[in-house]
This record gives sequence, C-alpha cells and structure tokens, in this order.
Amino acid sequence: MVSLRQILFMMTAGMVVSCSRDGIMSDTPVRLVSPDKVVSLCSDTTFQGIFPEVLQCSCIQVVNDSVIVLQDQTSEINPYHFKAYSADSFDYIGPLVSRGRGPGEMLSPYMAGNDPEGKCLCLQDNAVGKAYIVDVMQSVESRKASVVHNIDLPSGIADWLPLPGSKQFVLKQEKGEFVFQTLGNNGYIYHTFHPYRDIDGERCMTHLSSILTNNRMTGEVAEAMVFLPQLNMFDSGTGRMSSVAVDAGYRKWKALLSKMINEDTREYYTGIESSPDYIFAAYKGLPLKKKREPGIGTSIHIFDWDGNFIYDIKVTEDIGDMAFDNRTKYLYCVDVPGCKIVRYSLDALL
Amino acid sequence: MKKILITSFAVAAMAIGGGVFVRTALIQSDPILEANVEALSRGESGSFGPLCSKTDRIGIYRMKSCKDCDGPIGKYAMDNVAYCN
Repeated sequence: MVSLRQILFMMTAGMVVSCSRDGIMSDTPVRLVSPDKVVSLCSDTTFQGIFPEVLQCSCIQVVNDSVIVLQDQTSEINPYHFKAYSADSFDYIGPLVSRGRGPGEMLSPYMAGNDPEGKCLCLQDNAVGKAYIVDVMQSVESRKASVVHNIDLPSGIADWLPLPGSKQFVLKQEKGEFVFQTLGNNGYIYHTFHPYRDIDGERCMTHLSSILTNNRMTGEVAEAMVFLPQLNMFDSGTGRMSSVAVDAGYRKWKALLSKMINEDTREYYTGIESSPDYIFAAYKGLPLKKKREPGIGTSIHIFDWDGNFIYDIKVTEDIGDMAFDNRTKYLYCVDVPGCKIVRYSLDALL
Repeated sequence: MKKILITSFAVAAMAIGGGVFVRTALIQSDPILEANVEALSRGESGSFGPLCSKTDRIGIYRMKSCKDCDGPIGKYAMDNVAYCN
C-alpha cells in the first residue's frame, strides 16, 4: 500500500519536474535579454499623419517601397477594407477591396505583410479559408481585388505568412494543439514546430495571441507574444526555434493560462514589423486596464534576427501596428487613440 | 486513524482552495471584457473560452466572431468581447 509519505514525495517530485521549464515553449530555453542602448525618440513633426479617408485605422503596410496601405473598418457607407496613399507625397491614391462575396471582393481580410518580392500586398481571409497576393495599384484602378496568387489554406489555420521560394508559414490547430508549419504550395510539410506542445489549443487561443513577421530574404519568422514579454524565432529552413524574453514575467506563463483574461492581465507586444536585418516590436508591459489611459507611451524594441536586443526606443505615442520603409528608414506606426499615423526616422540608429 | 484524519484534512483543504480559485476567477470577470460568466460555468471540463468579439473590429487578439463561434479564428480588438457558448 502506498503510504502518505510516498504520495507527498511523488507530488513534490512532480512539482519539481514541472517547474524545471521556466518558459512556455517546449524544448526551447528562453534567453532573458537587456537592450544594448535605451534612447528616447520624437516622432517626425514634418509628417502630418492625418488620412481623412480612413475612419478607424487598425493596420498599416508599406508596399513596393512606394505605397502606404491602411486598413479601415468597413461599414454601409465605407465598403472598402483598405485605402492606399503615396509613400512620397502621401496623396490619396484610392480605396481597394470592398466587402462582399462577389468577384474581387473579400469578407474579412487582414494584412499579412508583403510578398517575398516586396511588390504586392498579402491578405488572409480566414472566413473563406484563403490567402491572396494582391497587386495594390491594379486593385485601386479596377476597384476590385487584383489577385496575383490565390492560396487555399488548410483547415484550422489561425495565421499565415508567405515565405521565399513559394513556401508558406502557418499557425494551425492540429489535434487540439497550436503548431507552426512550413508548407510548400503543394501542401508538402517541410517542418512542424511544436512550441506549445502540451498546451490545449482551443482553451489558450486568445491567451497565446501573438503577432508574426517574416524575413523576406531568409524565410525566418518572428513571433511577438501579446500576453508574455517574449519574442520567439522560427527558422523555416532548418526547423530551429529560439526565444528571448525582455522581462522575467515570461516565467509566469502558468498563471496566465490558469486565469481568464481580465483588466489586470498584462499586455506586452502590440505590434511587430521587420526588415532583412532587424525586428521592430511595439512593447507596452502594462495591464489591459491602462490601455485607455492617455500618455502611456510605448517602447519600440529593435532586435537583430539572432535575438540580440539592440535598442529600446521610448516614444510618447500609443503604438499598435507598424510598417518599415526600408528605402527611407522611416518606421510608420498607428497611434491608436487618435487613429493617427506617426513616423520615426531610424536612419541615425540603424 | 491519524493518517486517515490527515488525508481527510488535506482533501478538504484542497477542495476549499479549489473553491476559492474558482470564485477568484469569476470575480475577475471584468466589465472591460464583458465576460459571459454563464458560458464559463457551462464550459466542459471546467475550461473557459474561447473568447469571441462582438464588434468584429480588427485587432491583434486571436478570437472568434461571436456571430460565428463554430467558424474560424480571426484577429480582433479586445474592446467588447464575450465567450462562445
């Protein structure tokens, strides 16, 4: 018969084993990092950043180094999901992709970056299980989505990114678990990543919210976690995973998963963007209840693709989505409260 | 007898602890999220979620649309949400 002492021993041993993994990712250690430099930066005051055609801006993308595309909220009077502007003059070019089920229309697309050549806008529409690579200028001219490439997404897809070499990077639910996969266009699976191997996917769908960006040159992918101060990197070529954290709060992943998300839940990363050399991530590190308070500011973290934390840039704006213009080295950001666009010159830093 | 008493005490303490945990979780259902506590208590195997968006406003949080809880995962703003039944 098993004695009480033996039961207590087994419980203690179990707790020791379960506590030996300090980060949420299975089989991948988390490296706690600090910035090489901390700087304050003012937004470019020569840039007005007011785009009157956009009523409720949520996402931004610079396409082909020449066009800024903003995602708007559709309504009866505004059927278009996106509005395009010149990246040089900021003149309004026109709207694109109206809401609907007809030809050239989409139900609920959201932006998934540029195509690997950087010339087209990538859109994902989970409502119909499709991703699209769209020519922006032709779409504006024709008033319909000019789809260059139409991709059927496998079932259970939560996120999608295009990769070089006609590959794709997807986040999907598979047997109740969230996994990342590198796929060929024919559906061939090159790599399956299991960062959250023993965590039930459906339950943790929102808790494990994250924002993805891809390196168009190398095919690497970075994942900024919304509710943990952690950035994960996936090498779609080799199948290697790595992870860095900017705050010791990354160890509190079990507490995060055991509670409902509420106004005391800390929100960490709110936006991500990348260039071939750098990852830019907007960081808050504040409880959700502070979201609506004015003047909270944001830290823009700049990493290289090895996970080295190069800059912590303090700005006064409340930053959400971001887009980097590699030609001019301006980082365009959505200033959430006023639905305004601001930009920062990173030319002197990078 | 002493072992049985200790074991009973431990089980009772764990039950009280579990009750306090559930109560704390329910109290934490905040107005900002307008959490559907009824849906939570009906969740199978004591689980909660998935969260769903009532406004369908685009954002960064992985959720479902409350109009289509059997549908796909989308990305929504955390501004007026509930739990799928």
